[in-house]
Amino acid sequence: MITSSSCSSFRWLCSKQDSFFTYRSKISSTMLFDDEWVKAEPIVNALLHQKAVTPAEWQDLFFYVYKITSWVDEGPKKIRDILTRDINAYVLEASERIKTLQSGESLLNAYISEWNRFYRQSSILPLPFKKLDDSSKPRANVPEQGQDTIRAVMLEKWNDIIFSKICDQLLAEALRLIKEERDGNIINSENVIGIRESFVTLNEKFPEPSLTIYQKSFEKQFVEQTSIYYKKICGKLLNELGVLEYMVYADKKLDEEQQRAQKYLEMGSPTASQHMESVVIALVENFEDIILAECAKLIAQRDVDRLQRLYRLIRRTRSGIETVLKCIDQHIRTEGLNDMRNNAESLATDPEKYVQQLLIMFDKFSALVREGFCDDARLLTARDKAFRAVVNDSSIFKTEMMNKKGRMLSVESKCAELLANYCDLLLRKTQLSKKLTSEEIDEKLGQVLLVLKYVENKDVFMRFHRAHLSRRLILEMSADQEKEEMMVTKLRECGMPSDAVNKLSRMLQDIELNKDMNTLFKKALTGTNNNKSIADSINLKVLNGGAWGRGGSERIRFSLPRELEDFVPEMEAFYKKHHNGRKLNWMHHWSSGTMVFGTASGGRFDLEITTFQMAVLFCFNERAHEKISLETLRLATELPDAELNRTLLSLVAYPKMRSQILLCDVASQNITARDFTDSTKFSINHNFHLVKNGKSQQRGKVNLIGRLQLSLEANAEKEHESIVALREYRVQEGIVKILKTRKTITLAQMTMELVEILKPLFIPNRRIIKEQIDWLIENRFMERRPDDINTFVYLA
Amino acid sequence: MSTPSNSAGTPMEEDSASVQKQKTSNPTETRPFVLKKWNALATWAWDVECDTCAICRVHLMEECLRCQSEPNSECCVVWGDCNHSFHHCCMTQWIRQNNRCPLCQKDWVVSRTSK
Repeated sequence: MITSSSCSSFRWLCSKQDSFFTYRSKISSTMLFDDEWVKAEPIVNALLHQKAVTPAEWQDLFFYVYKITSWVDEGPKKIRDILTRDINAYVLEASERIKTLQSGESLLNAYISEWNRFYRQSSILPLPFKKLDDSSKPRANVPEQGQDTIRAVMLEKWNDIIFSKICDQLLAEALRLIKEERDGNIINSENVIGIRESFVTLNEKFPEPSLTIYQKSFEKQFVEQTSIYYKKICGKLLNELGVLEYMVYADKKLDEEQQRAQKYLEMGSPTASQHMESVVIALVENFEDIILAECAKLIAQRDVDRLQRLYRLIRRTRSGIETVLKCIDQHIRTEGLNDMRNNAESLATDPEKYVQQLLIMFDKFSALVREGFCDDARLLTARDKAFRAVVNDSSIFKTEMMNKKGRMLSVESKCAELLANYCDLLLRKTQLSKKLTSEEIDEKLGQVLLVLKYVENKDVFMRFHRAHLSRRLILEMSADQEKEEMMVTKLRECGMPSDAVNKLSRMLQDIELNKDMNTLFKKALTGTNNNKSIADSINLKVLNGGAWGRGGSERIRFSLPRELEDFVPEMEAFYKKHHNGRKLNWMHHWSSGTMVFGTASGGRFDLEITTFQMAVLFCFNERAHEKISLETLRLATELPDAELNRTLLSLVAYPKMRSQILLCDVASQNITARDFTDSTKFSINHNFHLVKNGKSQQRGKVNLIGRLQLSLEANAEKEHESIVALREYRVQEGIVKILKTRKTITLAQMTMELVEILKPLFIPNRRIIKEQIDWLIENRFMERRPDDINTFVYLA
Repeated sequence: MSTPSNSAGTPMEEDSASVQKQKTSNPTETRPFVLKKWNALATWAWDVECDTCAICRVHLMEECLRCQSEPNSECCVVWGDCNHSFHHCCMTQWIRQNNRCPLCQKDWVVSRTSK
């Protein structure tokens, strides 16, 4: 048998073309068809019967066909007729051969082997006769158009004489084979594939779309049979195996069926997917409820192998995934909240533990979705939603947001605040940040941002973060300036409101500017006064009031101790000289310093203290062994009561210190500020010492600044008040913005758009929206439409 | 400035001299507390009569109302000859309609800006 070498023969023909034209002019049209066909026929027959044909013969055949079609009158028609006759004869022969075998399997085998040979030939034999096919085409507009190609003739003959007669038998046999295979026996899959090919190719040319007959017979029966097969055994199997083992079975079968479909079905058929659908219905959907009932249990046990199997089954069903999503959601919520509740006490006070706990949970749930559900996008969304609910849950750690009138506006999770505190622990010089490497800190900050993504009240986070940042910068407690800047960039990247982030970066810039100014100041001091010691002991920071919050209202008036006040004119004069048109506001409640404390017993300590503490301690100079009453101290320092009490308390009862700087005559063990009266007397503790490793130390450094100073607002309550006030403005602003573009809008639409606008800051609840709408109506920014009270109209 | 009321009050010169001395000396029995370092802190603001912009009602130390909603790093403050000050952006808009200071009605002449 030859393989196609038509290309080379065509090339040969072309090169000889000129000589053919001369040849034609010489001989007349008296050439006889039979003379030429006699030479061609043996080759055609050899090809039909799959006998050996030499390349020369193969090329000759092209030549003969060309000659006949060119010169013999009606040549193409004659060739076609005779060829059809030959094909017919061959097919009849083959038919006889097949018909001798009656029983199902051998009939199928015989048919397949005949078919395979014929099918292969059907793509070789027509090649030399391509000219016939071509010549019938250009005349497409002639009425008797559409003469079939030789190949089509071959296939049609085959269909008419053999296939259409026995196709039912063959199909039945093929289906029997498939059932055998389903039962676990090995079959010759070539046979099934051959039948499918017959169905597909033999009906290619008929008026209906090509695959109709295949779809109607082979595919339809295949699908039906599959469905019947599984319906019969699945219910029984489920009872015998139990649901878990049944899932193994179904999983395996689904895979097998998928492969089977690819092997035996024509994948180009538009309805090919019906097969898998029916398999899924028979194997999974019929028992969906029973399978899904296992879901919650498996999740609780974190049995990821089984979950993955369950997921593979359920993913193919039409609606089963919904239940899985519900299970996951439920699991994350309850699990997450339980974990929190169990550790509520230690978590509420320890931001590190809290954030770690959140991250552990997040990793746990992510792992569950990854391992059990292959990170399916729908499950990831469910995880995010549930985790957001856990993060923002206000049942365990709550913050009550009040407005100025003391009305509670919302109860929110304390998460934002704790996250900010954790950030502070990482960025400040603390034991935690010293313990960690730079990479570990980066990683943990990244984790903070990850959790932050889920936090709804981001404005609270930004507020606290900013307060912590100013504290770090003013007290120079930042562990690493670069990390501070990186954090600002990252906050910007993760979509925090730009005005808030801008403020942070302005603060950082301001500190840089101050470094230069401080150097200048010191140079000026040494230059003018010839007094190096002052220059050494003074460090000046002048901050931009706009970036750091106008301290105006928060400023606390008090009388600066003489030892410090002496420097003030010098600093002011210096600043005026460099910056015309600016005035300074001294923020003594933010300033601090170091004092050396020498006790009568010879101890020497460096105290890092606030300016307020300094003011109090300076009162004891020259009266080192006297007792001074609170009233006297108040007169001396002019500190407001609350501030004085706080300051004194920090000196007589600083937490975690064995001995205190000052002593007082309050009897109680746990002194609080409420124990102080005007006549309470204070004196220096000359036995002050530090304890390190159980030994008393006479030298050392103490930091008494602690949390005392720089809670920029007096307390959390005020902090929350101002957050709420800001939120009210934001809501008003948002509503007006929306109304300006929409002119008229319904309440529902307005709420939706408002949430969209404010999402980066906080999620406005219904109450705040309603209140602000009322306010805006009262102030004639908008009005309700007379006929529909839930529609608003903008009043320009 | 105040010292404790029952203090006998040493002369001023002597006192500041002793402060100077203490910088280098150590705490003594009678003066157990000695300053080593002071980190003084202040904020600055424009030294103006009125520290809010009369046009947009926002504090002069902050960006003007427009620039807050459409971030613009160029927002600065402008002073007129009358020594009143406004946001530069606000004033630019204002003088298109009326070339007088909104506060004192004198003709507006720029004396300087914060840039």
